[in-house]
Amino acid sequence: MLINTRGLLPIVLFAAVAFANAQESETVTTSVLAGLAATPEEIAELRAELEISKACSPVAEEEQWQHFIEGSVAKWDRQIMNCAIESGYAVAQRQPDSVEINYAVWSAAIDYFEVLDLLYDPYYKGGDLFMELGWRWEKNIERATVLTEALSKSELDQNSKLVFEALLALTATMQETSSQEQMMAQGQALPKLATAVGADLSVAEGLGAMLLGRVLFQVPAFVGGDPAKAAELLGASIQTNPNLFHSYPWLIDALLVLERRDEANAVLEQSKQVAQDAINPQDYVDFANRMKGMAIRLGIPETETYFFESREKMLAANPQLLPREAKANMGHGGVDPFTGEKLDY
Amino acid sequence: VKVTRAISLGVALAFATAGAGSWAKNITVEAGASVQDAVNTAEPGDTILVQPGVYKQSVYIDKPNITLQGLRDGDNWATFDGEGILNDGIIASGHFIVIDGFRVRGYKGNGIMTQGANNFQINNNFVEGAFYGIFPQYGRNGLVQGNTVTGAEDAGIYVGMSDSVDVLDNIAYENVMGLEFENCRDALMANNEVYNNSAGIALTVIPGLPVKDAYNLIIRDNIIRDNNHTNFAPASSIAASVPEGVGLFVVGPDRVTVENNVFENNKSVGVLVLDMLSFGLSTDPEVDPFSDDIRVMSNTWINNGNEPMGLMGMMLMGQSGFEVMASGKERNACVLEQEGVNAAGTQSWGACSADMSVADFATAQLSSPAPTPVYTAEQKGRFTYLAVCTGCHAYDSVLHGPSMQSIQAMYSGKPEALATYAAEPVRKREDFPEMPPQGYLGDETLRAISSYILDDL
Repeated sequence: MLINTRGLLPIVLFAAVAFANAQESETVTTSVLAGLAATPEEIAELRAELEISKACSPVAEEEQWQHFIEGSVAKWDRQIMNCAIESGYAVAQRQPDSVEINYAVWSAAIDYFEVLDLLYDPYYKGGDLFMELGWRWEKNIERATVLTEALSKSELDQNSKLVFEALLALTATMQETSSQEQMMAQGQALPKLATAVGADLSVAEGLGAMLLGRVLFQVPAFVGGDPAKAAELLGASIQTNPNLFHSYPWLIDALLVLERRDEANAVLEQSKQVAQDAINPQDYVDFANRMKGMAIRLGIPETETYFFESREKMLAANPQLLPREAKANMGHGGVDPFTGEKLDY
Repeated sequence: VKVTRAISLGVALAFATAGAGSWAKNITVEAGASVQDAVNTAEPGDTILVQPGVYKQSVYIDKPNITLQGLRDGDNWATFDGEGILNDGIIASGHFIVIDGFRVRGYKGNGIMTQGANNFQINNNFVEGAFYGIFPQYGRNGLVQGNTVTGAEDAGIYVGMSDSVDVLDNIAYENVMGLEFENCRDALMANNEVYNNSAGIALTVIPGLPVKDAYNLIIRDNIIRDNNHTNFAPASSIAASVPEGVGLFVVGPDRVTVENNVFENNKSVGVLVLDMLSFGLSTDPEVDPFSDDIRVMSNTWINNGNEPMGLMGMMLMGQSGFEVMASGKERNACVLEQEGVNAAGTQSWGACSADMSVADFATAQLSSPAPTPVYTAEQKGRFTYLAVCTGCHAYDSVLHGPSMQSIQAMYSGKPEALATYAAEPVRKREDFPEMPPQGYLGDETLRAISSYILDDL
C-alpha cells in the first residue's frame, strides 16, 4: 500500500443518504428566497467571469511540482490550493505511469472536495460564494476522475483501488449533485468498500473501515444502517491508524446510540492522542472544534478545555488558518437572544 | 382604610400582570386606514378593532397587552395584503398579544409573527402564501387556535424555540409542512386537520439556534391525511429537503408522544423518525442529534406508505407499505402493537404500554402567565436583528444581501445613516436584490438594531 506525501489520507464528510439535497420542483413561488434564485443565464455569466477572475498564474514546468507540494496543503485558501493542484495535475498528466505522483495529486484533489464542502452554507444554496464553489467543484471532478482512473490502472493492490474509487464516488457527489445521483454513487461505492474491507480490515490504512463504518452509521436502519457494525468498523479504523481523526466523533456517536457511554468517554479521551504534527493544521483546528463539542455533549469539561486550548494555540501559531467562526460559534448560541446571557433552563 | 388598601393592591396587581387597567379602550380602524397609526396610539389593555377591508401594509406591535381584532362581514375580512411586495404582515413583540380574525395574504416573509412575546394568542386567522404562515418565535405560554393556513413555502404554522404552547383546531393545507414545532419544549398539537402538504407535521431540532433542544411534545387527535404535495420550497432553502408523502416526521426532539391521530393516505409513510445526521443537518456541539423516547401509541392507520414519493421512493427501492419508519438510532423508543401496522427500522424499539397514554392531556399552557420581562431598546435591537436581519444577511459572507462585515465597514460610526437606509432602502448595487423596507419596525428599534450591528456584533 502506498502512502506518501500527505501523511494522512483525507477523509471527507459526505452525507450518504442526506435529505439535504433539494428535491426538484417547478412550482412558482413568491417568497424572498424564491425571488432571489439565479437564472441559468445568470449562472453561466457568473461562471464565465470566474474563469477569468480566478484563473491561476502560469507556472513553469520545472517549478510545477514544487508549486504543488507547497500549495496543495493550503486547506485554508481555496485559491492557492486549487492552483497548486492544477500544477500537480499538469505534472501527473506528463507522467501517467508514476503512481507516487498520481496518488499525491489525487489525494490533494480529494482533500480539495472537503475544503470546498466545508465552505458551503448548510442551509442556503445561493449567492456569489455558492456560485464560485460550484465552479470549483465541477473543475475538480474532472481532475479527480482522471487521476482515479490512472490509479486504477496502476500496480496498487486491488483493495486499495476499490477504496479509492469508492472515495471518489462518495466525495464528488457531496455537493452539486441531485439526491438520485448521490444515491447511485453510494450504490456504486458500498459494494467496493464491503469487498475491500471484507478482504482486509486495515485496507488503505484504515480508510476503508472508516468509510464503511460511517455509511453504516449514517444511513437509516430501514435502508440497511447498522450502528453496531458501524461502531465495530470505526473502532477498527482507529486501531489501524490512531491519527484517522474523522473516525473519533463518529465512533463516539455510534457508541452513544448503543448506550455504551463509558466506551464513548474512553474514545473521547483517546482522541487527545491524535498527533497535531501528523495532520494538516487546518484539519487539526477543525477536529479540535468538533471534539470540544463532543466533550460538551459528554459533559467532560477537562477535555473541552483541552481541545479549546489546543485549537487556540494552533490558531495563534498559524494565523493563516480559517477559524470558521460561524461553525465554531454554532454551539455558542445557547444564550438568550435578547440579553446575550446564558439561558438557564 | 383597610378596604381602600385592598382595592389599591388589586389594581396594582392587575397592572403588574397584564398591564391593563379599567381604562382600556377600543380603537377602531376604518377600512384601508393605517393600522400602525392605531397601534402607535394604543395603550396596554386596548383593543384595536380593524374594520373589514384591504390593508396594504405591514404592522409592528411593540407594546404589551394589545388585542388586534379583525372584524368580518361574511366573506369580507379585515385583510392584510402584501401584494407580493411587502415582507411581513403582522409582527408583534409585546407580551400578552392577541391577534385574531385577520386574512393575511401576499407577504414574502412572514404572515403573522411574534418575536419574544410571552402569553400570546394567535386565533381565527386565514393566512395564505408567505414563507412562514404563522410564526411565533421564542415565546412562552401561547395559543395558536382556529387558524387556516395555506401556501407557505416552509411551514404553515411554525412554532419556533417556544415553550408551553398549544396548537389546536387549525387547518393547514398545501404548505410544504403543515404544522411544525422547532426547538420547542412542552407543547401540544391537537385536533388539527393537516392535508395535502408535502409533509403534514414536522417536529424538529435545528442546530445553531439559541434553544438547543426539544422535548415533551404531544401530538394527539389530529387528522393527518393526503400529505403528498410536491415540495415547492425554494431550492436554496432547508425546507426543500422535506420529504414528500409523509404524515409526520421527527428529526431530533425527545419525549414525543403520537396518539389517537388518523393517518390516512400519506404515500411515503405515516410516521418517519430520523436523526439529524441522517437528515444531513450539520452538527452543533451542544445538540444531541438523536430522537429519543419516541412513543407511537394507538392511532388510526389507513393506506399509508403504499407509494413512496421522491427521495423516499428512491431510498426504499421498491419496498412500501410502512406506517412507521425509523433511523434505528432512537433510544428508549416504543410503538404500540396494532394490527396492520408495519414498521421498518424499529428493531431497537420496544412495545409501548397503555399506561403511557396522553389521550387526556388537555393543555401545555401554564396555569398562570409566564413572566413578562421588560427589555431595553438595545436588547430588542439585538433580538430583532436575529429575528429579521439574519434572514438575508450572514456575518462574513454573502447570503441574499451583503455581509454584515461589509455593512459595518460602510456605516462605521454612522448608526443613524444605517437606520435611515434600512427604513427606506434603495437599490445600490446591481448584484444584490433590493432590500425590503423595514420602516415598520419604527425608528427606535431600527436605531437599536443599527447600534447592535455596528458596535456589538
